Formats: sequence, structure tokens, C-alpha cells
Amino acid sequence: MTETAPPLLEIEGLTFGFRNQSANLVDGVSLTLGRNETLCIVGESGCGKSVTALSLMGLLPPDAVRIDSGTVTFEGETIDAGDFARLSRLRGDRMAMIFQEPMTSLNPAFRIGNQITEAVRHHRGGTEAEARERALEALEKVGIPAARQRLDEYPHQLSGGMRQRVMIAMALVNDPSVLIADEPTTALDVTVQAQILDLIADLQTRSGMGAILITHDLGVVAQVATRVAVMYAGRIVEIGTAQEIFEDPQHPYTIGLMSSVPRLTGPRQRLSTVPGLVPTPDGMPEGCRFSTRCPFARPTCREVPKLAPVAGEHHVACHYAPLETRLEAG
Amino acid sequence: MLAFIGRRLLVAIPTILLISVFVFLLQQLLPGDPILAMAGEERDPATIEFLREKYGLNDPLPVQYFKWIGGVIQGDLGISLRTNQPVSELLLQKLPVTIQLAVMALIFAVVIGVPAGILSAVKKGTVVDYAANVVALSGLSIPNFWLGIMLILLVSVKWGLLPASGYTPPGEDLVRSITTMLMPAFVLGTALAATLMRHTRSAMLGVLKSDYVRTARAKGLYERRVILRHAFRNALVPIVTLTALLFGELVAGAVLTEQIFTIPGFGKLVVDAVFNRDYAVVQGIVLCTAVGFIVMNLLADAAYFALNPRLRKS
Ligand SMILES: Nc1ncnc2c1ncn2[C@@H]1O[C@H](COP(=O)(O)OP(=O)(O)OP(=O)(O)O)[C@@H](O)[C@H]1O
Ligand code: SF4
Ligand SMILES: [Mg+2]
Repeated sequence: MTETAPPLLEIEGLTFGFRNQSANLVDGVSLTLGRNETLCIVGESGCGKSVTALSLMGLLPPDAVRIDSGTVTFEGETIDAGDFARLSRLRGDRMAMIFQEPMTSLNPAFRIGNQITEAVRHHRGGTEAEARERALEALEKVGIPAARQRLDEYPHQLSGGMRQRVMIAMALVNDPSVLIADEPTTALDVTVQAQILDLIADLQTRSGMGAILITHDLGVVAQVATRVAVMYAGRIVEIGTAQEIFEDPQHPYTIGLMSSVPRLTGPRQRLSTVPGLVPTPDGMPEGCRFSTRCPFARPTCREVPKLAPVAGEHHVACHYAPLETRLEAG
Repeated sequence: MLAFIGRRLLVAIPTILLISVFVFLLQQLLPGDPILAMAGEERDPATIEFLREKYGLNDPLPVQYFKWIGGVIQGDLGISLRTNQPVSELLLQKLPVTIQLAVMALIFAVVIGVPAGILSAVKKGTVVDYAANVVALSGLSIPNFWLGIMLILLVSVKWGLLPASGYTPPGEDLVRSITTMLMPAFVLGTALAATLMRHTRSAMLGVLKSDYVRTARAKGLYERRVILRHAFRNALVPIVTLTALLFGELVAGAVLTEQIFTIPGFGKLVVDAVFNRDYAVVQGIVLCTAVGFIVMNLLADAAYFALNPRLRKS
């Protein structure tokens, strides 16, 4: 990413929660995504990765959620994070998303082809025949064998891996500039996982598409990430290039996560090594949200730590960063 | 498809047989000896014996059953004691009247109940939802006869808009036939609409939470299309199945409604037959209703099959 080119997508101060909860589910999240870049968001289950992604798409349930603040700047157009209607106009066209659940994300009642052409015709217009050609192309691009025949099949006739490919084809059929993939491979077996990730990477190099990849799997992160954002309890606690995060993790939480993955090329690991549990929105600690589990917690940690630069693009939100300070103090 | 329906038919046959045995035994258990009634005053033992022999009443029960069911299969349901008409003829006369009432009532129920159910699911927890539920609850709790009488008083007596009672066959005067049936069908339909609305609401609520509805939204489709196409198409499966189960409610409601509006249909036949102890007719009606129930279930199965691509693969 050159300094002069504006980022493809810029999220600024995204803050929201469910109406019936006082604590913010996502609190002051800011992220940028450049062309051709893959930003990985990692963090334990329940720390708000999926809801962050859904909010970008304007897909949160409007009656259950309150958006406090935040803007999404997409290709130069700034949209209020609470403006679901405007966000919804981007989705399926310039911004597309694939979900965690490939088995249930396709409509069982309609043919594959029809589910894809619907997305084409909604955004592009044109005839069903034209849309069908485009759908066919998309299916071929994601490596589905006998694609023409698949167009007339129903989701139940396809395996999980094939269904996820269809989901990707559907997401990519209108050539979006941003793809959000929420754990696209978790439900799939390892070989299929690798194929799908390769596929996304391949499509990125071809079109310059930016991707936000949400995952539990640090092995996947090591394989595809250009930059990594570590999320904890609705906040970004550390962000930087993949190299910075893997080789020089600063936040105690990141260090906890990494301790199980000593090498970039190590075996895949689940994020489960930090003792304790993510606090619930009802029991959110004041100040640093990690303080209930942090071995370095101090009285000052009752203040919210700011995401501050360490070096280069590397930012950490911890009162005791960088690491040297912490070691001296503790 | 055919194999599926075939299997269902195979299940339906023993069901019908079981019901027929039940109906047959019912006749045996009923008090009063029809032969004594036929033999008249004299009670001549020879005559009685002759009649018993003639009607096969001396045969063992299973033999009698097979003779009877043999007749039933050929459409011989016996003779009405009251009118001396063959029961099958009576049924054929009355059935179309009730079918017309039931179909029109179902149309009312679907036209009111389904959109109301969709709306209250989509607007869950809002005023619209509560209002729809209150109306549905009133629909369920207002007795048919009260609603019927009120409508007659208002629409027929006060405003003189629609006839208060009677029946015109559609073949005779289609418009008149429909307008005459409008009020009864509405009365019968509203009670069903309430049930249908609740079925629709719960089916839609389940489906709206599904991942594929989220996918449809993620494609950027208009909310209307997401709801009416992606969600409703899938909610249709439980709705259709549950609607078939409304058949019992429909028949029971029809009996009552026909009484209120003095419609000479199946319901009237039931009531007359029961009050006059016209057992042959009662038997015919029970059999007919049972078959109707089974046919409805078969139709529901067929619809379920047609709506569900998973079952359709060759
Ligand atoms: N519809 C909802 N209503 C109430 N709470 C919700 C809803 N959806 C998510 N949450 C809560 O929001 C929090 C964040 O959930 P989210 O799904 O974003 O986590 P995640 O980081 O994606 O986890 P995972 O790795 O398991 O997918 C969780 O505590 C979850 O319980
Ligand atoms: S701010 Fe304090 S509690 Fe939070 S991670 Fe840093 S040291 Fe631990
Ligand atoms: Mg998630």
C-alpha cells in the first residue's frame, strides 16, 4: 500500500451494543483495508468479530442493536455506521460477505444458478440468460467442476466445500472491491480449507480486491495475512503487519495467543491457551477489558489504554507496552 | 414423487380399513334391533327369522363385516331410515354444498391469515404484531354462532346486503351461489384464519432467523423480496402441513355454520341424522369424513413433497 493511495475501506471509531446491554459489544474499533490487502481479525470466540463484520454490511438486527458512533468510508464515500439503508446499498455489489456456516447459508428451496443470478440482476439488471452466463463464469472461477450442470442443482446436492465455493462465487459475481470472509473454512476439512484460502488469495491477486478474513486459526493467519488485528472483548488490542504481530507480539493477550504457535509455519492451533474467560457484556471490567485475565494488571489498568504506536504500523493498547517496560515493571 | 405418494397410499389403506371396522362395530353396539323395527307390530318369529336370514344377521360378525364393506366399496352405504333414500345419494347431494363452503372459508382463512402472520412475524414485538395477535385471539375466542348471528343481523337484516340463509347451486346461478355463501364462509374462515395466522407467524419467525435469509440480505436484495421469496417460500412447508391439520376444525366448524345459516349441507345432514338415530347415515358420514381427512393429509404430503427439493431428486 503506497502512502498516497487512500485506503479502500476505512472504519473509524465503530461503537455499538445491544439495546438491552449497557456495555458496548464493539467499542471504538478503527481499521483500514488497502487494495489487494488481507486483513485478518483474530480473537477468541465471542469477542465481537462477527458482529463487527455484520455491522459493516448493515446486517445487524436494527431493532435489537444501538449504534453509538462510527463511520465507514468506502472508496471515498463516508457512511454513518448507523445508516443501515446506505450500507445495505453497498452489499452484494461492491462489498460482499461469506459466512461461517456453508451448510445453511444457501436457500434450500432454490437452484444454485437462480440464487446467483438473483444477485446479478438486482445490481446489474439485464436478462436472466446474461446473468446465467455470469453466474456460470463465477462458478468456474471458483473451481467448481461441471459448473453448467451445478447451476440447476439444489444446495442439498452439494458437499460443504462445494457449497462454500458457491457462496464465494455468489459473493464475487459482481466483482466487489472488498470481500469479508467470516471464518470461511472453519466448518470444512483441512484440504478443502487450503483450497478455499488459495482461491481467495488467487482472486485477490487477479482483481486487487481487499479482503477481511476473520479466523480463529493462527495457522491460516500466518499463511494469508498482510496485516493482523487482534480483537478482545469488542476492542482492537493490537494491530500490525503479520510479521510484527507474529515476531514481536506486545499485548499480553496476543502473547498468550501466540505462545501456542511458536513458528509461522507451525501446526494449526485453536486460540485457547489464555486462562480464564472473555467477560460478558454484563460483566465488563472498567478500563482495560483484559485486566481480569492479565498477569500484568496494575491499578493504572482501570484507565482505558489507548491504541498507541510501537513501531511502524504496529499499534498496541496496553499501559505496559512496549514489552521492555512491562518486564522492567513486573 | 409417485413412489412417495404410493407409499403414503399404502399407509392410508389400513387406516381406512381400521376406521371401517370401527364404524361397523359401532353399528353393532348401538341399542335397538333394526329387524324388530322392520317386522312391525306382529313380531311373528318366522318373519323375524326370515328377515334376519335375508339381511345376513345370523352370519358371524366377520362375515357380516366383509359383506358390508364389500357393499361400501361398491358405493352401497345402506338406506336412510328416515328418508328411505340411499345414503350414498344423500351424501352426494350434500357434500358439494359443504365443499363449496369449506373451500370458500379456506380462501378467506388464507387471504386473511397468511399475510397477517407474515406481517406480525416481520414486525415482531411492535404494535402491528400485538394488534394482529389481539385480533387473532378474538377470532379464536368469538364463537362462530355469535359472529354469524351478528353478521346476519347487521348485513342481512339491517343493511339488506346479503341473503341471511339458504343455498344456490353454482350451476344454477354462480354469482348468487357465491354471494349466498359469502357470510357463512367468512364466519367459518375467520376462526381458521386466526389459527393459520399463528402458524404462519411462528413458521416465519423460525425462517427469518436462518442463515440463508441473512445471505439473501447480504446479496443486497430488497427486504420485500427477502421476506416474500427467501423466507416465505421456506415457511410454506410447515404452513401447508399445518393447514391440512385444520381439516377437523373445518368440518366441525362447517357443521355449526350450516346450522346458523340454515344451509342444506353435510353439517345439516349430520345433525339431522344424529337426532333421528339414522345410523346408516351417521356411518356414511363418519366414513366420508375419515376418507376426507386422509385425502387432505395425502394432499398435504404431496404439497410437502413438491415444496421440498430435497425429496424431489430422482
Ligand atoms: N443477535 C444477538 N443477540 C444478542 N447477543 C448477540 C447476538 N449476536 C451476537 N451476540 C453476542 O455478541 C458477542 C460477540 O459475538 P460474535 O459472534 O461477534 O463473536 P465472534 O468473535 O464472531 O465469535 P466466534 O469466533 O465464536 O464466531 C457475543 O457475546 C454474542 O453472545
Ligand atoms: S492494560 Fe493492563 S490489564 Fe490491560 S493488558 Fe495491559 S497490563 Fe494487562
Ligand atoms: Mg463469529
